[in-house]
Amino acid sequence: MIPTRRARLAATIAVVVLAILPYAVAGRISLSIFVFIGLFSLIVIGLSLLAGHAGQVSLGQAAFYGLGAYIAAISTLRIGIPPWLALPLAVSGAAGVAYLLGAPIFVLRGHFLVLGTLGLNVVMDVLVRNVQSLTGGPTGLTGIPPLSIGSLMIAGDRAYYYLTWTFVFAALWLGRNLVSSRVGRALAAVRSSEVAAATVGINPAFYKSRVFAASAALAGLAGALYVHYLSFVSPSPFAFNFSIDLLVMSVLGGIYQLPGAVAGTAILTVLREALRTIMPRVLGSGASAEYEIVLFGVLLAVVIIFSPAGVWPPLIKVLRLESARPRWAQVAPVAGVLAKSSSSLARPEPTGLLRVEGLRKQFGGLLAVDDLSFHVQAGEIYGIIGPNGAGKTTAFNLISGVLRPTRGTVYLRGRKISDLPAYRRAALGVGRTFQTPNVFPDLTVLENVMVGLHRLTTTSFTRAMLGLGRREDTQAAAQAAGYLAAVGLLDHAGLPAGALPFGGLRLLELARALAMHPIVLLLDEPASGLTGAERAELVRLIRRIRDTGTTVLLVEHDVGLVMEVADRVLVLNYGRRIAEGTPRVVRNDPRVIAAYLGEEAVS
Amino acid sequence: MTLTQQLAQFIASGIVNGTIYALLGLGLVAIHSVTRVVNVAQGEFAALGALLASTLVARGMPLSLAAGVAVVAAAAAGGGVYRTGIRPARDAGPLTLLIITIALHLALKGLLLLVWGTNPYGLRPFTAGPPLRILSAVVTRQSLWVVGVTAVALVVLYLFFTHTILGKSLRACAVNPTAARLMGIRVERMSTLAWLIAGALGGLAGVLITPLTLATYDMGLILGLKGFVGVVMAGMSSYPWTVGACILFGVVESLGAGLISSNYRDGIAFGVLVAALLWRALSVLRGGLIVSEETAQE
Repeated sequence: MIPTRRARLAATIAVVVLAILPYAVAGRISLSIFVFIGLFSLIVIGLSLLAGHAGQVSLGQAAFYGLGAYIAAISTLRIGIPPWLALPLAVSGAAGVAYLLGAPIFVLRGHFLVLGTLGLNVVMDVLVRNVQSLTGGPTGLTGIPPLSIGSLMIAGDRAYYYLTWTFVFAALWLGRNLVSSRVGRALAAVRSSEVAAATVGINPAFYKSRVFAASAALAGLAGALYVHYLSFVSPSPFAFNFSIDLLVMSVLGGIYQLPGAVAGTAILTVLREALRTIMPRVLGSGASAEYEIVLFGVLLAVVIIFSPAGVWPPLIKVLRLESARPRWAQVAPVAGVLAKSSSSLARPEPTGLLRVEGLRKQFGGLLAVDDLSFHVQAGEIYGIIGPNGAGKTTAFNLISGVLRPTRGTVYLRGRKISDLPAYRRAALGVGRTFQTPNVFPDLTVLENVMVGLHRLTTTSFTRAMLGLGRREDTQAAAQAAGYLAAVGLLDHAGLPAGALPFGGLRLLELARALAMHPIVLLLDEPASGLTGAERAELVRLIRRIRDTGTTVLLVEHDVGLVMEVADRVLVLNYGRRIAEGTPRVVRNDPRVIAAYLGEEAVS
Repeated sequence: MTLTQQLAQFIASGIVNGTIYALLGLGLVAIHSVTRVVNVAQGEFAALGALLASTLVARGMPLSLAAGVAVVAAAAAGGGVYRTGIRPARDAGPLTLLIITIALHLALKGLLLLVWGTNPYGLRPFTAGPPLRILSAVVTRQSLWVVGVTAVALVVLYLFFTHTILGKSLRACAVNPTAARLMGIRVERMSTLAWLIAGALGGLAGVLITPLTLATYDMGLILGLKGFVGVVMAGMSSYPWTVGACILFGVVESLGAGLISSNYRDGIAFGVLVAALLWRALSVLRGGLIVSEETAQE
């Protein structure tokens, strides 16, 4: 996303206001509340990045905050490491623990991270309270030295105010770079469909665990700053309850835009302070501040039910600060775009480009695919037809890695691929489309195709955060625009993909798959739902794809279309192969006629 | 005490705790299987049941009646929570629904605090008398009540799911809501029913455990979470496996706390959770599976 001039202006005003704030409030309000808003903002920015962009929730950010705090405290107090060195130690310690926990958990799909982090938080709390020799137990540790660089000592409210907010703006900048990069698009793809993301070569667990580690790093940083600021640490601020507070802040502000994290943190922190001064006056001095949880609960419920994206989106709407989506500077020539994969033609494969041997898939008592074997030559258009439930789509799922076979093997260019996950197969050149188009609705049409270019672009997580992938992005946008031109969607490039009509979704999916430069492209019922004109265009397009060197496998109910374009046709019924050959041979095969029209029609 | 006696004691108390976790876990499974919501507020139903029963008994109501009222109140709370908090947002993603239940947890806990304050409440054991000796473990009479009542509840639940139209409809909604709707089952009503059942089971757990521990407004979260550990260990869907996993979890927790230090009780419990998750993840990794069957068929 690209900030508009108005948004830049607003950001500049925000920086100026924050810069003069310590002088404006001097002597009236303690600065410490603003230091804490900054510290919590750091954690909440990480949490929003995780929840809003990687689609995962952590209920253990307080544990990473605590981990950072205790690493900094223990390493400076007990080991005597200089405080400036304790800071990176705390950050990498928190990130390292998060990565070790996240990398395996993200292999399990769903919201298991919630549980893992919750468990970590409780375990951490128990350990900190009980390993007294190291942590000082419930009373904690005192006398932690402030940060210092050489002879320059960073101490006092004002110094930590500026330091913390510098980190906050740095985190916002890094986060924004990440979100609008190749990595950000991959995250958006994973968020809307892990299956579709994997079939263009994105490994969901890879990116999720990195975002999680980054969010923990920010929490660890906040923890380390906290102990050097207060020179004191005890277990209570890092208990599980604070993880919930952090989540409330993040949802309140809005998890989809990072500045929302700062807004949510500020609102909740100020509200809490206000309640602590007002509540005892209203309810008598005995009334404890614990009543605030009622209000937090109701507040959170109201916000998420009535404005699920938090307070930030309505806010920027009022202030008219919406950012623009990426554009393409130029359109790569179509011929060049479609010809790049022709290298695969140069190498004839003696045993076929794609070979399937004894493939079987059992769902409970149902044999969806039963001992299926076939091979496809390089440069062929290979059609697969059969009545409903014949196992055509299941066969595609087995070849592309969306499903694991019960037994049997798939070889691509002689290499066994059937034990590889979907994203590795995509990387080796297996592209596919889905029966029900599976595009990424949050991304624009152009960005969808740019996700297809994922494997052919290289910007890493770190480089993306530093904003170093812009040049590659410009090239990728031009190439993507070329593919859109090839399928006739260039006019819609800037639209959100979810806004396309059905035929457009099919073409977009095709463009995305083509952008991968697949060796073999699996098209699952590409003609269904298309108008007559669109269907004719599709036939032309399929031929053109083959002519540029990509081998095409085609599952289709429109038998006429298959007979028109396919070189050879495989006919399945009840998961078994009943015929294979050129369209003319297959058309006259009595078993095929029987399968389609019933036994009586044959006799 | 010899080590054998100690072990028997730990196992016995683990089974009792595990039974309580199982009641909460069953509620979580009922809710999750029909409405796909992970209910963080599940423990609050137990807290409500416990506090209400304690107060009613203290005001002179007979125990059995008070327990009944508490369970009904907790069930009503379950249904009410679904109608007011979950249903308005039922088409939202799992993330939103999860956060809503966190909000409900906070709001319910706050309401309990407003009504009952921070003091702990007690309830006398259901039957008086000295503890019994079973094998080499000393078991309080209330512990037997916990296990016995839960066993009866499980049988009732089993008969409900297998022998009544309503129970079968509920299972149908869990397997395939769309098909259930096409068969004329009111999925909406079944969702409310699932929450009612979860509320009742939670309330029952609260009433049963209060004579053994004490009831406080904030007792819910940790109980609910421990029930959830069992649910995850059992794979989030099966009722009988959930009961087994919760009891196993209770025993492991109790053994760990007894043999190491009771200060570490919760640490051990949630350490087991993290370990169970990692173990599951590693076994999936060994299988090389990256996209689960369930989502592929969607």
